Amino acid sequence: MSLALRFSWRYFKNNLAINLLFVLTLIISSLGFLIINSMRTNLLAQVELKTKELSGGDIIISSRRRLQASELKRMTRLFNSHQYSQQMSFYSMVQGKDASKLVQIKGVDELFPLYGTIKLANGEFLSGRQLENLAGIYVYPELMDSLNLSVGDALTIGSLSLKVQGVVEEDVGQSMRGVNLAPRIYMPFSLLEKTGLIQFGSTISQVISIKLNNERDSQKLKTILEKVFNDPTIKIKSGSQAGQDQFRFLESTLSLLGLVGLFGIFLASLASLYSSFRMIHNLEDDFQSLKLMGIKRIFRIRILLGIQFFQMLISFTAIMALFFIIQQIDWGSGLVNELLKGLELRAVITLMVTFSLIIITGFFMAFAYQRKTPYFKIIGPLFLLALSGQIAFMQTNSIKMTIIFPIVLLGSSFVLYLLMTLFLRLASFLSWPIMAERWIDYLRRNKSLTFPFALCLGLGVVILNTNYILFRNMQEEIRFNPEKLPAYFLFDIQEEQRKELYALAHEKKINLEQLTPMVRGRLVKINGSELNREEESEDLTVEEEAEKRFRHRPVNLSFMDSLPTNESIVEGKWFTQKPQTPEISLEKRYAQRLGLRLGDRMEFDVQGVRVEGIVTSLRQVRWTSFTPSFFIVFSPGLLEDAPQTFLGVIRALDKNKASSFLRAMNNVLPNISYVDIQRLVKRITDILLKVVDAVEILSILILFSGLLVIVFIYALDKIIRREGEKLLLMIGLGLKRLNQLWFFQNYLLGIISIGSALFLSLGLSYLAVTELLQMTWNIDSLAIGKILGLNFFLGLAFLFPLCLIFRPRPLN
Amino acid sequence: MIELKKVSKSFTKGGKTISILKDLDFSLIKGESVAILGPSGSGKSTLLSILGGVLLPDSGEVIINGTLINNLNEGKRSDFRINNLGFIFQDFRLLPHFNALENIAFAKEYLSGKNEMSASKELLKRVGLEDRGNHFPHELSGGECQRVAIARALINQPKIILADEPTGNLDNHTGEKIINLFFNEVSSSDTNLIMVTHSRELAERCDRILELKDGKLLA
Repeated sequence: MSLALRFSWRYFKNNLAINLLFVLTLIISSLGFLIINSMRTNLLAQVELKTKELSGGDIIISSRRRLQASELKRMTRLFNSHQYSQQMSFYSMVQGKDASKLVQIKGVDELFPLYGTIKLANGEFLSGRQLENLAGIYVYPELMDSLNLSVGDALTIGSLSLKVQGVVEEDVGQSMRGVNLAPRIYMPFSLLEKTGLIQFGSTISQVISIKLNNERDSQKLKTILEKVFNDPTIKIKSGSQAGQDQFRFLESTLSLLGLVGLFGIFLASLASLYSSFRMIHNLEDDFQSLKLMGIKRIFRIRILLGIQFFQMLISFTAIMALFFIIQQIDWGSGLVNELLKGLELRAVITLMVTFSLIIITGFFMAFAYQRKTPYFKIIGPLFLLALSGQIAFMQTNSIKMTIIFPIVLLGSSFVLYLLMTLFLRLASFLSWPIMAERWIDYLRRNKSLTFPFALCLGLGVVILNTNYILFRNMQEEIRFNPEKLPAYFLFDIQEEQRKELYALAHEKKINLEQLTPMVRGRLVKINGSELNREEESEDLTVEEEAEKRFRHRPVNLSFMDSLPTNESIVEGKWFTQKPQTPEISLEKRYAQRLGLRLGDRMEFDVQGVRVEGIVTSLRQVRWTSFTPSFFIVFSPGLLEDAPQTFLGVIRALDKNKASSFLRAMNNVLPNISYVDIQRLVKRITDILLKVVDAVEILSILILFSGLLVIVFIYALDKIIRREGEKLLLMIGLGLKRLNQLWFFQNYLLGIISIGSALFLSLGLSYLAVTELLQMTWNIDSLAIGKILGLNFFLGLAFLFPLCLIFRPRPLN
Repeated sequence: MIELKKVSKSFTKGGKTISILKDLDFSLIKGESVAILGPSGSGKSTLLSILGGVLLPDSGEVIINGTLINNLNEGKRSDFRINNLGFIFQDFRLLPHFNALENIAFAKEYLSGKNEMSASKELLKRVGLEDRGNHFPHELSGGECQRVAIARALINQPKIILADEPTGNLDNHTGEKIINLFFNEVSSSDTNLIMVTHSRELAERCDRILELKDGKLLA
C-alpha cells in the first residue's frame, strides 16, 4: 500500500467510530435512493417490455387500411430474415345464443404473440399456433358475461359459427391506462376471410410486428421502411417508441418518491460536511507537520482522498450487501419483489457518482469554510443546491423536478430558519432561571450550531408529516371511499338510447351517472398556426415527451353547459350564454403542457370538418374521482351536430347486481360496450398504497439520518465547547447543573425544531394536497395527535442517547 | 550557507498591521550552530518559518546554499525542505497514526517510494529507542517522543536543522539528556543548527547566540 493510502487507512482505522457513523449515515440516506432507483429502472424495463407486448414487436407497421398483396410482398422482402407476425382487427357485431354484441375481432397468425403472453382463465397461455389448430375463438370475460356464454358455446361471426375455446384473463394488449371500446375476440388469421366481414370499404386495421434478430437493427430497418412506404396511412414505429405512456402514472409517482429520497441525500451531504470539518480539524496538526517536513500539498490531498475512498468503499460495499438482503426478503407482494429485482449498472454508477458528489461537496464546503473563502456563505449553499439539482435530474430526468427540488429544499430550509429564529426569540421573552437564559442567548447567537440542528431534525419531521398528511388525504379519497370508485365505463351510447338506459338503470337500482357526450377530433391549429409533427427523438426529457404526446394524439372533445362536480374553474369564466365565438374550457395541466392561455384560439379537425373555439377558462380536475373528464370542453351549440357517442359511469356495486344490469343492457341496447375497470383501479390503488408504505419507511430513514448528522454536529461542537465547559466547572458550576443545562439546551432546541417543522409540514402538505393532487386538504384531530406523538416521540427519544453521549464530562 | 538580506515580515490582526521582522540581516556559515533568543512574540518562530521556506518574507531575500528561496513556488520549496532541512519542535509533532520507526522513516519513504527501514532502525538505535520502534507516539514518554523527532529530523541527512524550543515540553533531567543527544547527533553529522529558545543555558551550547529584538537580530 502506498504511503499516502497507508496514512489514510491508519486515520480511518484510528477514527473508526466516527468514520463508521458517517458510513452509516451514507447508507441510511442512500438506501432509499437506491431502492427508488432500482424500482424506477425495473419499472422502465417493464414499460419497455410491456410496450413491446402492447405493440407486439421491435418494429411495428400499422395501417389504417388493409394492406395490398403487392405492398405486403415488398414489405416482407425487407425483413423476411427476421421473425414477423400479422394481425388484423376490426369492429363487428357478433351473435350469441340470444343476443348480439359489438366486439373487436382480432385475427392473428401462428407466430402471434412475438412478445408477451396471453393468459387464459384456466391458467394456460394462448398462442397463435394453438388458435389455428383449434379453429376456434378466445374471448374477453365481459363478452362471456354479457352474452351469457360458456366455454364450448358457439358464436356467430359473420358467416362463421365458431366455438369459444377459452376466456382471456390477461391480454398482451391490456395496459394500465388503455381500455378497449369493445371486448376482444381472438380468432385465427386464416379464418378472417371466411367470415365474409372483410369486404371493400370495411374499416380494418392491419399490423405487422417484427421481432428482430438483433435489436440494434431497429432504427436502420425503420428508416428503410419509412423511405419505402411514405404513406400517411401506414405508420412505422420502433417498439421503444410505441405506447410510451403506459405506466406513466407510476413513473411520475416514483419520480416524486425519488425526490423524497433526495432529502436523505441532502442530509448525507450535511453529514459529509461535518465529517469533513472534523477530519480537516483533526488532521490540521499532522498536515502542518507534513508541510514542515517538506511533504507536498498533492500528497496531503491524496491522504484526504484516500480517507474518502475508504469511506466510500465501505459504504458502497455495505449498501450493496444490504440491498442484496432486501432483495432476498419476501415482501409478501409480487409487485415489490418484482420492482426490486436485479441491479442495473446504471443504478450502481448513479450510486457511486452520488456518493462521490456527497463526499466531495461536503469536503469542498468544509475546506472553503475552514479557509474562510470569500462569499462562502453564498457559494456553499449554492453548491449544495446545485448538487441537489444534479441528483434530482439524474433521478427523475425531469427539468421541472430539477428546478422544483432545490427550490423546495431552499424554501423549506429558509422557512425552518425563520420559524426557529422566531421561536427562540419567543423563548427568550419567557422567564427562565438565569443560567437557562444565558443558554438561550447562546443558542440565539450561535446559528451555525442551531440552524444545522434544526435542519437535520426538521427536514426529517417535515417529510414524515407532509407525506403522512398527503397520503392520508389520498387514502381518504381512494381506500376509505370505495363507493366513489368507478366499476364500469359504458361506451358508444347513442343519443336516442340515453332515456332507455336511464330507465334500465333505475329499474335495476344502478347508479348511472350523467352521460357525457364524446366527439373525436384532432388538434390542427393553435392561434392560426398549423401543428407540425416534429422529428422523433429518443433523447427527450419527461416534459418534452409529454408535450409531444399531448400535441399529437387524437383528442376526445365534449360539450356541456354546466361544470361537473369533480371540476372547478381556476382561471377565466365558465361559458357565457350564447357566445358569439364558440368557447373552450381546458384542463389546467393540459393547457400548461401545450402552452395555451386564455384567449388562445384552437382549431380541430372533427371527421373532416374544421371547428374553432377560443379558450375562456381553465379547469382543475380531481383525478381521484376517476370520473371521465375531458381535457377540452366546448360550449354548447357547436358540436351537437357532430358525430358523437355518450360515455357513462357506473360506480362500485356488487358483482351480481352488475351482471344483471349488464345482461339486461345487452339485451335491450346491444351496441353499448362496457369495460370493467375495477381491476385497473385496484392495481393503481394497490401501487399507491405500496408507495405510501415506502414513503413512510423512507421518511423514518431520513429522520434517522438527520439525527445521525446531529451526531457529527455534536462531535464537532464538543471540541469547541469543551474549553468553555472546563472554565464553567473550574469557576464552580457543578457537573450536575452543567448536565441539566446541556439537556435543557438540546431539548429546547429539539422542541423548537420539531415545532417549526410541524408548522412547515402543515403548510407544505396543504400546498401538495391542494395544488399537486388538487384535492381538499383535510386533517382531523386524530391525525394531528398522531403526528404530534410521532414527531415528539421519535425526535425527542432519539435525541436522548445523543445528549447522553455528548454530555459535559468532569474535569480530568 | 544561509543568508537573509533585509527581510521584513508583518501580519495584520484586527485591521492593525504588526511588524514582526524589520529589514533583518542574518548569515550562517557551514557547520555553524546558532541560537536565537528572544521574548514571546518577538518573532522567533516566524523567523524559523521563513528560514524553512514555510513563510515568505514581505520583502528581502532568503538565500540557502545559493538558492533564492523567495523565487521558488510552494512545490519547489517543499522539495527544498525535504532535501535540505530537518525540523524539531517543542511539541514533537509526530504523526499519531504511525509508530516510532515509521515516523522516522516517513520522509525517506516519501522521497524514495520504498519501504526501506534499515536507516531508520539505525537512527532509532542511535537515539536509544531500538526496542520502542513499534510503539505509537501516545505510547511513548515526552523524552522518547523528542528522541524520535530528532531521529526523524536526521533521516534525510539535512544540511540544516531548525529547532524550535526542543526541550520546552520536557523536564530538566530529560531535557538535558535529550539536548546532549541532540548536540552529539548534530555535531557528528556535520549539520548546521539554528535553534530558537528561551533558555540562555541551552543557547550557550551553540557557536553563536543572537537575540531577536524589535524585529532585528542582535549579536
